[in-house]
Amino acid sequence: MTLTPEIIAILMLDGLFLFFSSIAFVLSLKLYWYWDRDATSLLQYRLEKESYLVGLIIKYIFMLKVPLFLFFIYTCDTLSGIITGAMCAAGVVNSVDFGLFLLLFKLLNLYLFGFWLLLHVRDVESELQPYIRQKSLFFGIAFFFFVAEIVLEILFFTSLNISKIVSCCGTLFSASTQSSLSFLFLMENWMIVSFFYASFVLMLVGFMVKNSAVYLFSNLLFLFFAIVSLILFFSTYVYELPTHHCPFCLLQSDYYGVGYFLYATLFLGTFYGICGVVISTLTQGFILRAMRLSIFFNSVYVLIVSAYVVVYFLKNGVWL
Amino acid sequence: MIVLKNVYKCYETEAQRIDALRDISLHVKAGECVLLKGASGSGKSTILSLIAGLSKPTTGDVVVDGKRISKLMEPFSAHFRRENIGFIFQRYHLIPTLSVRDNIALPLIPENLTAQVMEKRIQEVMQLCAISHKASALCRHLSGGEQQRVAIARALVNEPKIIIADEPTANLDAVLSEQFIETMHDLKKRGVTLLIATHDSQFFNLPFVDQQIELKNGVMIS
Repeated sequence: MTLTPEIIAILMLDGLFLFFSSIAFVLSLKLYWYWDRDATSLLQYRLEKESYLVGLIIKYIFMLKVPLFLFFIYTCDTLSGIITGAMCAAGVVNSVDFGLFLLLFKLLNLYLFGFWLLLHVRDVESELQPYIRQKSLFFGIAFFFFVAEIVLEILFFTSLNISKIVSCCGTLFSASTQSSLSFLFLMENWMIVSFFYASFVLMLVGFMVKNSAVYLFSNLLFLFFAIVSLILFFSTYVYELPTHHCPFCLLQSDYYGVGYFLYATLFLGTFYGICGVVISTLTQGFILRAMRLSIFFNSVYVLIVSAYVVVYFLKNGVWL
Repeated sequence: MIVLKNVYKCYETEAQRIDALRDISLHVKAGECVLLKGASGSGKSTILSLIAGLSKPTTGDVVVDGKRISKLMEPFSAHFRRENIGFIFQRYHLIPTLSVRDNIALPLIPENLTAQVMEKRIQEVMQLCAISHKASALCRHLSGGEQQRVAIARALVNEPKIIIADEPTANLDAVLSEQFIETMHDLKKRGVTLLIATHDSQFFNLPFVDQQIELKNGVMIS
């Protein structure tokens, strides 16, 4: 087991999260089973107080989870210096079999917690708290994903072996090797980029005709094709290297940490496009606001990745 | 206007459980003046804080102006209180480092009123409470009676439908208490609902009091 100050900090926070989220989980189940808005019983008044506590715990966990996600990537990046063969966070994440799953769980949980938070905002906007049972049930389910993430994270850090030679990102994100991600390179670049822009156009159409189903579907497509096209196509223009496809090196200072900005806009845009639209449809609320936020962040993402390609072409007169 | 239905209020600590109120039910009509009597610790202040939404019952329901204030979350009950209820505390709870005018202006700040409307209201209540001449004086330099008048002005500045006063004359002499009673009478004539918790005998035989409720150990005895 490798212990660095960063890993110790993450593991300690995991312990705290597990403790507090377990309290929130038990209280959420109580709220789901026994909540009766009209009751004036001792139990109902207790539940009303406990609902504040649940909201507070989950809000604070979410507030810490967002920077902690970046801190996890940063930690993996720093570990690449001591793990033989790893050149960036990609090598460290892939040094353990389930590293990629851990990353996916982390992303999924950010979306789930964000979804809960949006539902919570809609709930406390009304003095009747109409969605308290729904949000309690939702957290009751999301809790298991959260626990899975924490367990995976603990296993991940305890499984890291600094004496084992691992593959660097150049090998992992390459068509020439048999890594878990090499299947991506079977797809043609022009096709992926076309799907990426097509999903964005579909999103714009969904926004203009205010069709939430089209908008939601286009965001799901956009999220998938944005990540794949970033790995296969756009990253090469950021690195100005036709063979380098790593989505983690974008976070490094050599590239001005542009990856943080790209991922933030992509995840915020698709979060509002997916979760915001679902919540709006369920609660008949701020659908236009969610769509506007989504379209803004997604457009910024499209503009930036496209700008890298255009600027490269203008500077060099050739495509990669 | 104000309805309490089978209200219980217990304060629990690890060591003991105190039943502050037991099965309280009452009904106050709009524009009435209600007196809550009883010794210290009888539950008068607890009833007032429940009506103002400052605390919640252990069981039972509190309805004020058609709103179940006992079921409102804090931001909603604060908003309701700000719009409908003026509270006069026994110890005034003024900010000593602010002037009389600024203390009175405080409840208006969240209302987003224009400066002119705000100033007009402040001047009106200062005149009503005969405290205009001390507008720029710091509250810590005022006498007890003057502080009481500032507290009344602050309670009135939002033009509330209900005034709640908790032992308002406990720190006043007989003359100042008379003045306070006069002010309450004026408010009653204007249609304001008054709830006054007191054990000051000066209040007991007032002609404008509509209901007198006596409490003992958290139970209504009359």
